[in-house]
Amino acid sequence: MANPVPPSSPASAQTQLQRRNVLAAVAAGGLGLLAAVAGVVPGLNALIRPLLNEKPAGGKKVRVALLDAVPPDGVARSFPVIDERVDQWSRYPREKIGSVFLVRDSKDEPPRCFSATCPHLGCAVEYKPQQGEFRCPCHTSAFAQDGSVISGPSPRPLDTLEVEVRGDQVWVNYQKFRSVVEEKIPE
Amino acid sequence: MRRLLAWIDDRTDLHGIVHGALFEPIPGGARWRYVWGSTLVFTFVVQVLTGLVLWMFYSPGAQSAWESVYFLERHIAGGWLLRGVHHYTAQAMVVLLAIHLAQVVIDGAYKAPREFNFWIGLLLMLVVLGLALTGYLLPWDQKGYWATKVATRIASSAPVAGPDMERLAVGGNDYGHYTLTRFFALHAGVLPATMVLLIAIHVALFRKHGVTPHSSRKPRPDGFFWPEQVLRDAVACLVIFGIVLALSVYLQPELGAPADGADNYAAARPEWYFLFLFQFLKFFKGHTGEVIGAIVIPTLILGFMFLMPLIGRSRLGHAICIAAIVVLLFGAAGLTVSALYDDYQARWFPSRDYSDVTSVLDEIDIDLRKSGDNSKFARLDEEQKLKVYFKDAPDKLTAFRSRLAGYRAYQASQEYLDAVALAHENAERAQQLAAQGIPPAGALSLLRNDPKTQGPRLFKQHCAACHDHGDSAGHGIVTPRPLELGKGEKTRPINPKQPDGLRAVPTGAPNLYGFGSREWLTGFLDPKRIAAAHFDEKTMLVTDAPYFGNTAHWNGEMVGVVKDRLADLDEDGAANLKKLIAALSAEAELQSQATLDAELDQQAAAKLAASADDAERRQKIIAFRTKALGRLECTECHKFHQSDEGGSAPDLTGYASRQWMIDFISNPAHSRFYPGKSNDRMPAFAPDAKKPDNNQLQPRELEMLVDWLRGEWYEPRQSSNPAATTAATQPTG
Repeated sequence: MANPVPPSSPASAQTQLQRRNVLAAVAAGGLGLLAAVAGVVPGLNALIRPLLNEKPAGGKKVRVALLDAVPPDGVARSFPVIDERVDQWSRYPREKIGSVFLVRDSKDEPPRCFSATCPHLGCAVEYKPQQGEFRCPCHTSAFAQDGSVISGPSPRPLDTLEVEVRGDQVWVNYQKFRSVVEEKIPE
Repeated sequence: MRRLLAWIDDRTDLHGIVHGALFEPIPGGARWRYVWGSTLVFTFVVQVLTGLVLWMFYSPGAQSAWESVYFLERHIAGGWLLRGVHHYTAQAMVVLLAIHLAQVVIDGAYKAPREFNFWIGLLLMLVVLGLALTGYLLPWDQKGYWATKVATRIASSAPVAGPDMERLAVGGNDYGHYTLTRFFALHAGVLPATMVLLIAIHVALFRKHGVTPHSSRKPRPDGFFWPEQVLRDAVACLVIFGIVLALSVYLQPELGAPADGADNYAAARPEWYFLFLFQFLKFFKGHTGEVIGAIVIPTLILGFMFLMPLIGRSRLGHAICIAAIVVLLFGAAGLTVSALYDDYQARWFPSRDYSDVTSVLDEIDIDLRKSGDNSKFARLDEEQKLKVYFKDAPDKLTAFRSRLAGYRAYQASQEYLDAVALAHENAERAQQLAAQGIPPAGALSLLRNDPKTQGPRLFKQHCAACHDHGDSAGHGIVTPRPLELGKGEKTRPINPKQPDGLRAVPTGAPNLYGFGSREWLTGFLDPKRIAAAHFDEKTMLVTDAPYFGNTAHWNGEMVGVVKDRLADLDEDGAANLKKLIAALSAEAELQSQATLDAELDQQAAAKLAASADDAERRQKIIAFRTKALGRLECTECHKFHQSDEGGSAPDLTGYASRQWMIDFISNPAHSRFYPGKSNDRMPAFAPDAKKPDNNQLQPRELEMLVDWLRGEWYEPRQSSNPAATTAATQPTG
């Protein structure tokens, strides 16, 4: 800005100065704001990764029990689900990662399988053989033998899992579903 | 000195700042009722100070969070006090917050010109609740883990962004390392920083407007903050600190067992100050209900609170605000009490009698056991059963239903209390095991490899359908089995005096409590007890069948031998039986009998020359034991330390020893034990040695189950547990 052109009149100089001030204010405000939040960007960029990473959907087939361990008496029994598990950098060797219920109504049918995770808020339901009911210890949801809701806040019946009998072994497609919604949405 | 102060003052106006802070005028003078805000600042400062030190001991991570808190509490002198103070000051903060809020509303301190300060205060309240929520997870114990999991699940039910919010908070699909790092950063960084900022504005605005004088009080001369109000504030703060200290000392906060996402943790409850929300959620059904109960209503209430300064402008508005805050606080208190009642009624009213309900349920059960599929209750659910039961008196059904509901609630309370007791047990056990040093895999791996913890679970899962594990007083895992009537060879007459009368199908297996011990064998080889069973036709149950009484072996060869040869023994015979029991029991190598067994071996090897080596000694001992078994002709049928003779009955070599039991459970139908049809319905739990994955029980599970049956697990030196007077070695694997 060397040798600025001399103003033709004092009035126009005034306008020019004002215009320059407005420009400076806008630039200062904008850039200042940008500078103030600049540090947040790389942080947020990393933090929101869990939302962008693709979720493995569809569950995983896991061997759960010997067929003989599920007598055809219509009574639900709890079986541990044993599999590998990964948590960020930790890879856990095969260990119990959850449990499921198996029920066999007759000798000719394959067992039915219920997830032990309450569809309400994810607590572990228990089977009460006396009442022939599943109960959640958290918010007292109760489910009938077939998994339907008897009472309590659960939005949907107990989640059934796909069962496959391979030889004398019972395999289950172990997966989790979204809580608190009426539909069974894989998670 | 004075010159130095003057020099500093000149450049900083320190004097002015201090003077301004201390000599703030208080219209109407200092009062006790003005202390609440100061106590909140005080508790926050305590939290910052204790929190910073806790930070120096804490290590977020799924294998280090619980471990570091445990170490602080048990191995750092005064660590428990530090954690106690932080724990209880957090609770004090919530209580003080409620008092402060109620007072501000009732005194009208939220009205113009203090609206902004009220709003900042509400934000502060949210931050405090956020701190409470995030802090609860950090020890990574069972109760914090499960309670917080429910909280984030609630967040996930929020419309639109719910699931994403949950994943952001959790740091992935499931709880793990990143849940801890995120919650920790929120708890120790983001939220306290926000809090400091908000408190600064809150106090500055408060200073600008001053206290809200109570119009109805008698006018008193104005005073200053220093010293009258400071004195009152200090006393109040110290009283609160005293209470916190007392609670920390006399009611130490429990560190639960390490978090286990695969466990069926049935004692999950939020901290007491969130119980009202927990209870509130029980009233709402389905997704819409949940959203209304957990999100819409709380948001509306909060929104109303933010509007209070505007509503409270008029006299009526102010009255509405006061009524609302009173209703809210009492409502929350009511819900809290009702939640506690639901959980603790079985403890508070232990003698509540529901025999009218249980007698009806028992009657139905007995009929089902009696008539099976022919019962009128067969294949019906509970509601249908009741309709059938009350067919002739439908008017009684409604009354019974409500009684039944009461009974079920009472049962649920009992179950909750049991779950809490189990949680305490596991918490204590985890710390016992951790005291030995925690492997890099974390404390959870200790608990998961502990026979004392896992044994009963495995037994209930795999064995309890047939076997009991109970002492003579009936304590332990004891299940009465249904009396199943039937006909045929393998059934036994219910009344021995009427061999042609009703017959029962054996439905059980021996009680395994103390299996292999001298006591167990003494009972087993007792002609009166080996096949004993009590058949109760009234309840249709079988009880007291400790050995073969409720099995297909009830009239087998072994029972015959015992009844023929061991009845009415003379003195010599009785002595021989005792020797046999001692010798056979020594094969089990139970650590609880180590001293007795050693005495016996001493006797066996007494004549041995001092120069004899271990092999010779061992040979002598085996010969001694074989002789003891031979006297009563056991070796006619049973193998015992020989390879080719005998064998029509189970091999008694190493009988009831750890390996023998593992082999037996793996495959009871193996030729060593009960080959073919001689095995009475016991499944093979690990027949495939090459591919353990195909087996029902994994090798480590078998070991833990057997170790538990043998009463052998790690127990610290000054054990109060009589079941394990032996010091077993630390489990590995």
